[in-house]
Amino acid sequence: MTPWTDERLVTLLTDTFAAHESVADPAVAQRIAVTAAPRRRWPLTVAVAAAVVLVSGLTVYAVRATEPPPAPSPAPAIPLPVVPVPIAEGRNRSLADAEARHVLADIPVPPGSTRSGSAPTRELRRLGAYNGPVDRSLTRTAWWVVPLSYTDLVAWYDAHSPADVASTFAPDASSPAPHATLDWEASTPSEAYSQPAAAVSYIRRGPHITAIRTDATLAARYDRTAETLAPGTVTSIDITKSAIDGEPRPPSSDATVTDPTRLTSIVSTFNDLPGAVANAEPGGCGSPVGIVYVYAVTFRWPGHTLAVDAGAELCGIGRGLTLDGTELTPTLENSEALDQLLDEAVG
Amino acid sequence: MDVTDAAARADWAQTATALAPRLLRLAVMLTGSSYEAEDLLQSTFARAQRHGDRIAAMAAPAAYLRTIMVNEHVSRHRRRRLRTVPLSDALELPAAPAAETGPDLWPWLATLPRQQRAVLVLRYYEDLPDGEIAALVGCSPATVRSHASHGLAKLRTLLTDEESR
Repeated sequence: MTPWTDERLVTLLTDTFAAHESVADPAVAQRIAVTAAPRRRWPLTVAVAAAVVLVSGLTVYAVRATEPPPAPSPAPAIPLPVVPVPIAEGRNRSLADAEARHVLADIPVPPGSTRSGSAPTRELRRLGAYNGPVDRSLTRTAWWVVPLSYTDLVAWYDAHSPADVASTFAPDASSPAPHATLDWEASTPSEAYSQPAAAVSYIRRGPHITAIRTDATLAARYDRTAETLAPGTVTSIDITKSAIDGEPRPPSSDATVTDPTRLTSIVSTFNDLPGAVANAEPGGCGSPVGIVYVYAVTFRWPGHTLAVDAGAELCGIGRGLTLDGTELTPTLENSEALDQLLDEAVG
Repeated sequence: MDVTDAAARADWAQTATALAPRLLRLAVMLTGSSYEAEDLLQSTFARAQRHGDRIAAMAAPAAYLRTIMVNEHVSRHRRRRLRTVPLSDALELPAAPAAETGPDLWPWLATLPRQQRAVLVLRYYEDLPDGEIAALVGCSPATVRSHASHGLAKLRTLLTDEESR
């Protein structure tokens, strides 16, 4: 028997990596670099229209499922000239909640399955997939007992879902593991919430009985409530441009914008920013290398100020908002378009 | 990521093209498949293009793109849709161990959790220190050490099991 010391394993590992470098075709890599398309956001008007369509569809679904539809939210008291139809408070969460229920209801289960009011086994509670932005308070779960062996169950999902069932196989194994999780992207992402995902976790209970849990996971974005928007009456915008990394680090620079055309452009782009994903568990946080500029902004209009910090995009931290000295709960996603406008304004 | 860094600052397109081969190799190590790797590279560039000019002007754009790629890989949703895989990927299936060079760990790497594999790749392929790996994958250096230790332990178990058959 070979003594597999750490040193030998590391040597083997580096040899393995070197042996498989050739899988990466440089020509393919360069073609991807040339053809990769820039990310585009939907204009807010399109997003609002899509949200309205989605609400209508989900409401029909909710009624059919004898569940109460999401409660309509009150319209903002103050009409805002820049964004004609701002999304009302709580709307994104309602949409996400309805979508989670919808996704859960759409997860297929084999014929003859019996729904259970609670976890059929304690072990099944520990299984479940939580990948990407997930707000656990929005996760919807159902428990089932299925009259199939776990191998037949996996075969059934191979035929009836987009899950990659190979993920349940150990290497060189000819059959699935007796407990595992399958998951797949359940529906299209929305401006209101993160990518919805469906997951099926199973555990063997007998030769021809398997317990499963089905989960629908996602996270809602913060709403662009009236207080998060800059009104058309903004008279000036203070901008601070600073570098967060890189050497030599240039000093911060400030600018105050009062030109009406530029004010309108910045306010409009700012009001188009989507809310950041709310309540999700933190993801990876990388340190930027090189000189990276960030922009803090303060909108001023008679009697009010709305300060917008630079956020920390690489850590998944959105731009924080402070209205008249009071920190607001919602944070916003960053945007290259806004940064570009602010950079032009600073000069 | 050193040679290409200096040469690739002119503009974003030039930067992306120059760095793409090295990034694709990293993506292959992270994902274990050319198909998944190309998908990951595409996502990385799509995300990076929002800051293309900025990245191209950086002192070390490759390191920044690597950060984006690792973030994307560790945190993205697993896209487990059934799809047609190019026939060339079949060549990446486990090969018989070669007596002279030692067994190929490639198939066993596929059994490791995503973050654990990422740590092994960043440590032993990219030769990064634990502190930098910790920043890249979003955990503490102690967790990086733990991932590396558990990853090696898992590989050791698999190799030992294989030998005892």
